Amino acid sequence: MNKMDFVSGAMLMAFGFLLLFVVIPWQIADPSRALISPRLMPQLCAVAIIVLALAQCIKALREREVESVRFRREELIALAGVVALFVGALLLFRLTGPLPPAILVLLLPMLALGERRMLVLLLLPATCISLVYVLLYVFAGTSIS
Amino acid sequence: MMTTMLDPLLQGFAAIGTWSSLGWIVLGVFIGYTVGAIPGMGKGIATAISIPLTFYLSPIAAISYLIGIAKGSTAGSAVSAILINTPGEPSSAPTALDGYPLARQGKAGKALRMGLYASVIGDLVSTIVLIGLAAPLARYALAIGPVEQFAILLFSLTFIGALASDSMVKGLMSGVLGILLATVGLEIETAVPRFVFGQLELYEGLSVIPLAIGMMATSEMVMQISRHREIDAQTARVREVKVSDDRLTLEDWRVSGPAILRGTGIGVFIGILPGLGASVASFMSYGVTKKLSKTPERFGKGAIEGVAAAESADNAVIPASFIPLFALGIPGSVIAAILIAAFMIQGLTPGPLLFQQDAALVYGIYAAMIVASLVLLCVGLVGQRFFSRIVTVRVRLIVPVVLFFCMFGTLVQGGSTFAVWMMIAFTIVGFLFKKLGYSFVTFLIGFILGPSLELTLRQSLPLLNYDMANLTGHPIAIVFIALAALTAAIVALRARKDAAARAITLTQTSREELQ
Repeated sequence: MNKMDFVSGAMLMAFGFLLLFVVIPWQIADPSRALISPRLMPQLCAVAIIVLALAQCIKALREREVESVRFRREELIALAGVVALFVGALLLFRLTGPLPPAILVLLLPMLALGERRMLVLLLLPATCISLVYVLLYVFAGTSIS
Repeated sequence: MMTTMLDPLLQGFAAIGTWSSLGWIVLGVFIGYTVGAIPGMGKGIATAISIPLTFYLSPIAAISYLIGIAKGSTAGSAVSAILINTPGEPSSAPTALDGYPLARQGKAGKALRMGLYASVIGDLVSTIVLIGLAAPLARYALAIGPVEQFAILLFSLTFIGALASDSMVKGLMSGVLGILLATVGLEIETAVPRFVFGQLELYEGLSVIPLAIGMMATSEMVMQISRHREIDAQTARVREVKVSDDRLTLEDWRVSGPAILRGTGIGVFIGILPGLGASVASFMSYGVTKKLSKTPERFGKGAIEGVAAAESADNAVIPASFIPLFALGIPGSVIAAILIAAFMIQGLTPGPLLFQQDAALVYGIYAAMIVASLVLLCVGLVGQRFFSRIVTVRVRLIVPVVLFFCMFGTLVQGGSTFAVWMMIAFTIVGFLFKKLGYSFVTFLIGFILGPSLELTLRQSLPLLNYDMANLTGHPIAIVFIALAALTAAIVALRARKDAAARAITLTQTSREELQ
């Protein structure tokens, strides 16, 4: 059995059922005046998801596990790091405006990935921020605020 | 016929003949080439990050800039393939098969030049085919009704879903998830909000920018961060390879000429078919050239025609994939899907109507594509040494810059932090898609085509009196629905055969291990 495919198929099937019986009735009103219900397309999608997920589960059950997909530790750390970086930058953005989060997004990954040259740590953020300033503020006439 | 096509094309050249438009094309090609030369960075990432900037450009400058990026990065990915055996994109993998051995023999300059010339020829010829084919196809497309349109869209999605992923079920699932996501926001006929969860920002639907950036660029950066030591070790090897200045000889051209022409033909054909992608074209072209060669044993050891075959096909795919986009409004590749997003930002809908409503723009884009091909040649030749150095840039410098542009690009285009939250969510989704083998291409195309699919379905149902038996009055629709079913059946049967073959191999291996 291909465990990962089976698990993802089962989760998608559960999602399909949840969508069909809970989320669609809760989130989409069904006005009587409509010739075709606004629920039609989402319902068709939900049914398709259930059918395809079932097919995936059956296929996964029949398969011999050759090489299992594994979430490596490094990948999960990288994902958590990137998400945390963006969340932190957004929170900082609300408090301080664009400059500090810009520096944060540039400096933190550089340091985390092992960059220690002072000149690079100073020049790269300065260049990127200046470029965005010129492109977006001066050239395109927009603002981030 | 020729005059009717040449006159608007000349007007197109006049439209882009400003310093501003030309400057954007050159900048696009240069950025694309630079990004393409960086291992692991591809045209999808480059164009996705650049979309927010195009919001502030004129339509023609915006599209030309993005096309320049797509063309530049496709050609640029050969640089890292040849110099460090690490293709910028999977479609350049066959280039590395002979390009890297050539570089090891001290003929890196020769391989890079042949790769560039083959790219430019493939790209230019494919652009000419696009110009010749899209308008007549669009005229035909205008004559068909919503029932046929729905059937064509259904066929395209099935075709892409079945072929763009390793597993047809996962490919189709990706497409359906994309369509589902496209239903978020106000419904077109009744203005009933769908899946908005009380968020005002969702009433207009989800924007393609955070979706594309999150799923393509930032999720790829996550993968790069997790493998940064390994990638840096690969890039460090480039210092052992010197880019020599050896020139191409007549003999090189004699053996590579037919390979380029063949590769271009294969690239155009594969490009027109939605979903197959540049990797299929370049591998197919390389395989056919090797098979037809009188000395196939040279392949893999530094055959210059191997580089020419792979690169010409790889680059011919991009313009050809715009044929279904311009003629039918169907994006056949990631680049075409991202280009649709750029069109939408500009308030334009690509498809057959564009030839009627804004023909000047279409021919301006054609002219920009031809100019971009020539710019590609100049940038590639002049900047060869610069791009050779680019491949040595470490991941620890690339990642922060990409993340920075992803965040601020999304922030600028979305106008609020909500878009960045969406981007974060799609980074996680993109990571899961990559790890679990779901197709991002099909997902994005499903998302882009979702509204058209729903609209044509809504128009078709009353036309058919809500009775499928009335489909008999629409033979074109029946043909496309049958083709969709046939594609699914063929791919399913083939997958079953492959699985059976794998099972036999595994059993044999297990027996051998036991013995």
